[in-house]
Amino acid sequence: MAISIRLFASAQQILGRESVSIPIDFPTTIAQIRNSLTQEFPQLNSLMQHSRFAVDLEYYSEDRKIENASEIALIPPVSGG
Amino acid sequence: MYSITNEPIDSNALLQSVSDPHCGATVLFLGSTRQWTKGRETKWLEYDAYREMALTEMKRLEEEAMAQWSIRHVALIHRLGKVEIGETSVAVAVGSPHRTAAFAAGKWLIDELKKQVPIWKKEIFAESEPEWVHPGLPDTTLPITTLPIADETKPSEDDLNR
Repeated sequence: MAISIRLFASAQQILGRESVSIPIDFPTTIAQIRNSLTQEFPQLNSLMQHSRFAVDLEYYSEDRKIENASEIALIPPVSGG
Repeated sequence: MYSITNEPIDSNALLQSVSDPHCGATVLFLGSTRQWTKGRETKWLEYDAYREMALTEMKRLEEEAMAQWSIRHVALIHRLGKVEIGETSVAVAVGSPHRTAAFAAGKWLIDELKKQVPIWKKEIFAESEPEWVHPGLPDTTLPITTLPIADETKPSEDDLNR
């Protein structure tokens, strides 16, 4: 199935949109999602190396298993404050 | 109390929200738009957020601070959109019976907020293109200077000689 990945800040600027859709089969991991995104959108590579991912509003580590998700987001280094 | 707003932050209202008769200490931190950073002039800042997650993270920080220190109230507010020079973009207020816990919790809260809460600032510079700020990312757009730029976190030789 395809899942939508929300984009913010530079990621949004680089691709010119607020989300992208990539094919994913659950269960999956952040590492796999990272791979798919890299293949699909190589222009995100350098930013993505420094970014985290959130699954349903929670930061996920690289190898944590994702059984299902309603929302995934690419979180570039944050700069609030 | 935690919130995200597009309106100016009212620090007096914030202070009142963390005071009660059991509190002998109130600590308030305000982060505001700086005009000059390492010789570069900023015209204004624009903030964007992953709103739903930012609120979730702010709630988590508030709960962790309340569990870790003897404090009675926490208020966290972040502003989004355009924030002019000198205006407040973020506020952290802590009310506590005693000052030690209020200072410690306040420092931890702003430090963690800056590391964890998914909010981003875009610098609108006076003399170059706007840039999203992503700490830790190699920045290829900064001008190459021949002189080392002083690290603002370290005292300069002048400071040490005083």
